[in-house]
Amino acid sequence: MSAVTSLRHSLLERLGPGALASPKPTARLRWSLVPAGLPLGHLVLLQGPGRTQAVAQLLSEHPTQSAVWVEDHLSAYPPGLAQQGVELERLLFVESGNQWPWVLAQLLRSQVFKVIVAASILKGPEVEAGLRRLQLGAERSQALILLLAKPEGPAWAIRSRLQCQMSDQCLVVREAKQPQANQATGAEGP
Amino acid sequence: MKNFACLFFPATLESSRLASLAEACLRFSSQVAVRADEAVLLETGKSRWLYGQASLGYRLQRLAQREKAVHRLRFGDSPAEALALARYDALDALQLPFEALGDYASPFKADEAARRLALSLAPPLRALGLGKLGDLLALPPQSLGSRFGPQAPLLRQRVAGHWDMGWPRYVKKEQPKEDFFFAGGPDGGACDSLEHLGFALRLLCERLCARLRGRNERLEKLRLSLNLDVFPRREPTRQLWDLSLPLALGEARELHLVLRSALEGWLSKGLPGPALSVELQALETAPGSRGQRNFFERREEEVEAFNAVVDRLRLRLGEPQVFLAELVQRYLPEQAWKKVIKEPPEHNSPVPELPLLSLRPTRLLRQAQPLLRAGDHLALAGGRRWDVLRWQGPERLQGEWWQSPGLARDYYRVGTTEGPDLWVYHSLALPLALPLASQGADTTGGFWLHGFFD
Repeated sequence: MSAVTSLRHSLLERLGPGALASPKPTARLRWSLVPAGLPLGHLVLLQGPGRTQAVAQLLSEHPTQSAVWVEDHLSAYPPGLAQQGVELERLLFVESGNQWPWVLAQLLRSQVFKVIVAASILKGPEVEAGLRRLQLGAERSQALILLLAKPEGPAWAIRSRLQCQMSDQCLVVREAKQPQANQATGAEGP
Repeated sequence: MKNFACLFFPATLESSRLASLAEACLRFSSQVAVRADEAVLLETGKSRWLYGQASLGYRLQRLAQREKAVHRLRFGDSPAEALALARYDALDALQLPFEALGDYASPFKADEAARRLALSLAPPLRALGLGKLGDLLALPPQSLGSRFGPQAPLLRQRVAGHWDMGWPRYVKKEQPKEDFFFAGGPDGGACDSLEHLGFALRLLCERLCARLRGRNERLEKLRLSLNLDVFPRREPTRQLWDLSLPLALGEARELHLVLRSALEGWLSKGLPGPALSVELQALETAPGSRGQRNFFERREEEVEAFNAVVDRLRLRLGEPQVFLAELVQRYLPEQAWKKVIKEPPEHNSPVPELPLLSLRPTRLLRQAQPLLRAGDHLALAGGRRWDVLRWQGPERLQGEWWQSPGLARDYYRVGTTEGPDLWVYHSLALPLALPLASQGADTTGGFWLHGFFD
């Protein structure tokens, strides 16, 4: 009997059958580009060319959900997003400057937005703690946080990474490789 | 269900407090009356909202608790019955003493003459061996007038539940205003910390929002004033702050959060001295068509939460930094949309029509960047370069000749070997990007990078 199995048995004996219940399945936001959908309550990093179009497609597939686009200085072009099917009346734009931790925390706390897009590089002295706080806030409010740029610093709080690619004018999104832990650029992985 | 309710304050309550409570009760019914210093009466039988007695009771109790005064709530078949039950802390009107007839004679105002006349019935009734209002109903109504005077049959009818009095019209005050005194109040002493002030503000927000809700209004602009005891002045100093809310608010919780954010800015160095009192006044209000919450959707709460978070963000970041985008019928790409702020639309609202334009990029540079073109390569002056695969276009945008410089551009979508497609234009109206020529680059055509199809 392996160590894990024996531990499991002893915990079950001591705490009862409910003690080792499997965690609740994660709620997901359906998305035609990723058949499994996107996990709500998580931080997801979208990389590669076409990520803005990918976000636009996600928003257009959920026209009744309110969403927010946070960027230090706006570079998103609303007419272009509208052409991709985004309902501009449901997309709030916030130019956060360097106050992204506070802004994102407020947005999560309000529980108004199901999709929060952080389009700028998250940087500053508290990136690691800020991302962790975002992850907890996202879990609590069951919101999806999409990061469109890799944060500067350790980013182990990011749960999944997706790579966008344009192939013959068609957008393809696939799971990206997880970065190696403890690289020189920053400690990845818990 | 009994349709009349009375919130009675045995130890009396200031008339201004009663008036504000009555205003808050307008959310339940338009039939509201104040009995000076003592009670608020309301009728819900003709209200268009559906309230059960128990749920209405909880709501009224909640409003009354904010006044921090001893109170009693009773329901009755008439305003007088509800008032008398509350005054005598009883549950059955037929068991009330004859003194309660004073309330039956004049429930809406303290009319001493009517009360005395009603009370004059008590001794002869007691002489007959009767002791409770219920006994009055046992007497034959035909003979009451001749035996006890003309008011006796009228009062008997009222005790029996036949109500004949008109409901007095309730006049709302001009602008709701709520205050809280730290010194001499139930909390005693002055307020010397923002945290303490926050607690008082929470109460004021609840009272103010309850009143606004009764008036079917939401807050657009408010004034916060603090009476401060600043050393070495002898007289208290009054400090005022006006706060405009771009999106109107009606919920106390959200208003309190916005106010706290505002206070952090106004009083970033803390209170300049102990606060003696704080006042919150509604300066401008907007119609708020709210009554009873919708059982089947949460739109009201969603809009309120949206408004609150937008107000908070705008307060901290500045108004232009938080916005929705609205398309504008202009060819000039950078002016083809504008910033607006409004409440989110209903779920089934029609989608606005898009102008017929060819595909626009998803990212636009704040200012177009001059591009160097060398064969199949494009480069920015800063050093970034792209290998070009294809050029699509041009799309000529021309017009707005009255502007200086006018718009005359040929736009191309440029596919590159790596990265997103570029949105590049060749300016027809402007001189070429001459500074680049000095760097030995081929600036023929004067190409400018304006956006990305990211």
